Amino acid sequence: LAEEKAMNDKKKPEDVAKELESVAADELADKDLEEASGGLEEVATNGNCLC
Amino acid sequence: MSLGLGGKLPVLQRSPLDLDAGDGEAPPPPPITAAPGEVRWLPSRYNVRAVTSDGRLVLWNGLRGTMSVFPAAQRPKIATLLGQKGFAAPPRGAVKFLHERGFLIKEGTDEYRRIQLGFGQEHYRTDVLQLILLASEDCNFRCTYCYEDFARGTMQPWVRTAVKKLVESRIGNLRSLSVGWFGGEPLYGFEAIEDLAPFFVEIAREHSVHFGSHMTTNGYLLTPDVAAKLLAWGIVRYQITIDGLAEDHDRNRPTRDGQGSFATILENLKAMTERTEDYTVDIRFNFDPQNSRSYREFLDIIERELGDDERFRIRFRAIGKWGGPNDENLSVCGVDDIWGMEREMKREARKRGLTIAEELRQVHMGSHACYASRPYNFVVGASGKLMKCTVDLDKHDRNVVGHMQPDGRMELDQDKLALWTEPAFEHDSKCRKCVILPVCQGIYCPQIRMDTGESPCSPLRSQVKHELLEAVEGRHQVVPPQTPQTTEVQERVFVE
Repeated sequence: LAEEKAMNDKKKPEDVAKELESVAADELADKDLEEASGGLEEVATNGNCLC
Repeated sequence: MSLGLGGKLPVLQRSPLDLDAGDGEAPPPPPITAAPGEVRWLPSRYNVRAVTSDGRLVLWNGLRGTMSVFPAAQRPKIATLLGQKGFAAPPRGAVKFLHERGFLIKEGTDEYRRIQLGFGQEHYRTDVLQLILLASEDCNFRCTYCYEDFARGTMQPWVRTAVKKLVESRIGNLRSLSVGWFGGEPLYGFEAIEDLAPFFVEIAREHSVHFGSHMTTNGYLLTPDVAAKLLAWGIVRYQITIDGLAEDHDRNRPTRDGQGSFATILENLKAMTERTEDYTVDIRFNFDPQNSRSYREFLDIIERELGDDERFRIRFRAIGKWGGPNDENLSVCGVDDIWGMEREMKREARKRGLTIAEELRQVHMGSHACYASRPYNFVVGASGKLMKCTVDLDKHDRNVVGHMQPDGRMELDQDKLALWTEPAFEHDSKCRKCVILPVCQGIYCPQIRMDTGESPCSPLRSQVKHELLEAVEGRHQVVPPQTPQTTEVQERVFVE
């Protein structure tokens, strides 16, 4: 967090945005780990329901 | 007044604007977003971030249900872009990426309003019917922590007929029909299931209505013959509880004549692994101070007997004093310990390659809202009572919201129904400010709100950062990419 804060203090977001303007999505984030949610596959359950 | 048309166009019969209407071809659609240029961006108020032990940044957005993991080297830059002050930039590169996933929003976007819209679109659907049927209110078990009173047996024949008539009268206007089998023990009332389940499959097929069916059962009567029938009737999602090792399980979940039930259930589950159908079984481990001591040995059994079958998943729940007659004798885990214990158990299960039933990637808008809060969801009791909550059942008058009528009508008390289904987050300042509001919609448990007057928080509220880190660091293997999902809120309203 200290590192992030230092970077925040040093660079303006506009400059960072420009710097990352040409970066492709798969270079930016780990594609294998990126997961959209799975859709409404289940009826929500109250945690106490038994049987 | 003259329009300068020289009286050639009968303006009382036709608009002069039609003269410029073109050749009848559809014009190109206008762009949905403004042309690329400078836009001011702000971080979504529904972002959650965590940093892994090796410095990667994990971002999750509760409104869109998206998760992204950034390499450590990128972390300071991404953090800068997500600063509270906002910035102006064209929607390109990283900015576009973050915007598409909902982490950055255009200045002026009202995310709370979008939640209200999404909530309304899902909550007030009239083309969905969800029924939870108490096939039998009696049970062949007498679990130590059970809150039910076993007042009635199998669902009465006239109630079954009424349920059929209800579905017949609604099916023409439905897109989705969901039937959950519950009890008591639903398989104790197999006669009712045998009567109704094939009917539901058939009528949904005839009307091309999406049909989903699930069952919460103790598994004792889920013999191979019964499993074959249930699967053929489209009952493909199960929750079956095993409370640890045989001695622990049999102590917590004895049969009504005091016998053990562990061995029979495990045999039934092993037999299910031989089947080829597409189904899921959530093994629920209700833990307490005693059975949690040997959870590793329990996972050994699950891993050995069911671990190769990805249709079997595991979920962990702390036993609580849920309102049963034995509550004062129960030994339960302290609230401060529960989440740490659950995390530890999940981590161990993941390490062994077992599938966890509740992962962050399954979380999405409304997924932690209780079914009882939805106006289209009803519990139908064995004697025709219409209820909302499967914990309250008919122990509280507030929960008996109506009665089935022999002709298939639901006679409802609108005031009681409104009590369970109100959009409570709108008058709850804690909910309105909460980062997981899109997920629980302030209705994680309407029963808790009624009993305590407090916001009923989903455990996700306190656990979301841990869950984020576990989703990345606790992975046994890379999960194959899922079918691409649309992530716009207005398209996330289809409920099974």
